[in-house]
Amino acid sequence: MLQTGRPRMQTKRTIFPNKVLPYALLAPQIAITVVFFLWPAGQAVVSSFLREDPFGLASTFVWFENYTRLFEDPAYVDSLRVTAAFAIAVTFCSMTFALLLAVAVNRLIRLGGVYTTLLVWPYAVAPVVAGVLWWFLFNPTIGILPYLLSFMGVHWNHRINGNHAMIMLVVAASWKQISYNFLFFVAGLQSIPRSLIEAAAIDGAGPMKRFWTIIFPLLSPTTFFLLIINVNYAMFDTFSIVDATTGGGPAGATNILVFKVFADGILGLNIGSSAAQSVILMMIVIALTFVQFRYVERRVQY
Amino acid sequence: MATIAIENVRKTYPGGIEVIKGLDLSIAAGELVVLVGPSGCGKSTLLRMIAGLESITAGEIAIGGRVVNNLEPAERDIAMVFQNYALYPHMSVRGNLEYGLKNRGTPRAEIDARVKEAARILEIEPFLDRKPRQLSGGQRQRVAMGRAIVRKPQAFLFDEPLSNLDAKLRGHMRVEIRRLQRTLGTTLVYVTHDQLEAMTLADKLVVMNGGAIEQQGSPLELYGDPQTLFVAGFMGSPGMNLIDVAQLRAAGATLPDAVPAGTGVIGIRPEDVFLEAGRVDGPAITLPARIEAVEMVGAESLAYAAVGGLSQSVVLRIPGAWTGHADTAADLHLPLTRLHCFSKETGRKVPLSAPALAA
Repeated sequence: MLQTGRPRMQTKRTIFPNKVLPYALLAPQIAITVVFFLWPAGQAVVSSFLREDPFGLASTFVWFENYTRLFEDPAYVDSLRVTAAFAIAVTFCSMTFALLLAVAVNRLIRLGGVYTTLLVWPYAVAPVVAGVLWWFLFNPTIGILPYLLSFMGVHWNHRINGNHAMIMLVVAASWKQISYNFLFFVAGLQSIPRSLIEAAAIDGAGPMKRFWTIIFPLLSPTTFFLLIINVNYAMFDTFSIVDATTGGGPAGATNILVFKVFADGILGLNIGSSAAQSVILMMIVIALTFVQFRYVERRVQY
Repeated sequence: MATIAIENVRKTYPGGIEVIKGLDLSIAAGELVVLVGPSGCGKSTLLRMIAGLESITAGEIAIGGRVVNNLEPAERDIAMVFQNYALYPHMSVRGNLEYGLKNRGTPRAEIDARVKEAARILEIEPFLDRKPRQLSGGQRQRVAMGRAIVRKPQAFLFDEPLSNLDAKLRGHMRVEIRRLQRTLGTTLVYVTHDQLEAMTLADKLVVMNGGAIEQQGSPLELYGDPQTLFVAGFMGSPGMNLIDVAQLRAAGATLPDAVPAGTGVIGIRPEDVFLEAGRVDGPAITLPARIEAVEMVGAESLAYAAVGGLSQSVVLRIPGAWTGHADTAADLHLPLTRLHCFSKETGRKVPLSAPALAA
């Protein structure tokens, strides 16, 4: 390891002669990964093949029965559909609004810094607080939004109307994520040289044309990065927002996968099914991330 | 091909900083005008005002007889080459060339013909389908120029287009730009801080300083007859020797009557200072000096001579390799006919009186 054939003058690498020390230095991180990620994940995989008796005293090995049952369950298929709709809506809303705000702030010369700071604040709000905040705003009895909506003839009640519940959830989840996307878009916009925009202006492209033919394509690395982050956010980090607002209801209209895992496992105590669901969820993330990094990123290169 | 008329143009930035102070300039159709000056002199700002990338605080700019003050850059029918080339990185070379034509709704056949023509002129045909990042600096520069010429605009605006190239390529591209401009006959405004580039390219050279024009004219006019101290020092490499008359007098030298009253500084080009009295015809000022250092440039040598009492050394340009020794005493001969006299207060030229010269 000492002599790797490369001229030693050029490498800044520190080489430990000790064989044990590197492992000792890595140990804390490895321990954390094992205890909080690999072990629970393994447990989930194991549990997903087991069925517990009603009292939790004994469990039997049932192979893939938990999985086959899931896909025969209309509630689960429905949850898949709800999750997909929710993830697409949140990603689209939060990225669109963030891009609009970023473009607006990027045009400002003096107050840009102030707006950026203010727009970042929602990101510091805990998801559960964001959920409660929007729950109050949308509350059919005391909320201000249903009051305003009533003037437009909309009788808002997310407790009985599934679409209303979904809209509220999308708004709450997007609102929180806009800040994060906004920061990346602002940074992305600022890294586009001004002279490119000027060259396009001289080349006869109006503001909209400049945006779609120059700015948006040059932002695509940022956009695709955020796409991955946002889909993952919508599918996993939104648990507490659901928990604090709709609780998956009404009638499962907002029962996204990550909430259903919790509801079935912790509330319903169906450990086997819940574990199988979380394993499926894990596979979805792995697949999504893989597909996006592998195929989409490659096309973004310019 | 169009004239460009700039009348009493001012540019003031928020906060009251005036970068262009009431400037007049008229550019004939097909002329290659070089704006040159030190950084911060307002030359790029002026170019960007012509392009429409900066607003005009006061005054008027007309291109081809049409006032363009309130027109968008796209409507001014000009093309610009940027210092960093500003090529669209996500488009191929062909895409870059086509972009401006497509935006203007040019028919497909016409676009193809023009791109082909431009690519042929600039010899970039082999790279048409490459992305800018796959090109060398010189190739990118050509593409940037190609993007300007496919549009067939009324005028080209070049903003320090060669400053990102290495010295050899810069010299080569300079010749190409000159040739290209002659062939196309399009009016070209060229901004640079490199006075060699300015000298070799310009039909008309405009020296700017502090947001105003110091002097304009043909390159040789500016070199041979600088009207201000600034132009005298700026043009030429090394620049003109500028000798403080007060220091000269204090050192005990006497100035002939030919030097007009009110002269605070006398200037002389390095090639006009001689070591041998025999090479000077006509009256001359003779200064005892000591050669301190010699730089051999190849075809010529630059000698630095210290004259007692002067704070700056006098530079001499001697043809060929200088065979003398450094750190030797020598007399400098300054022919009166080559002398430029400037007022110290105004920085402007004081004309030599002809009868005094004859005496």
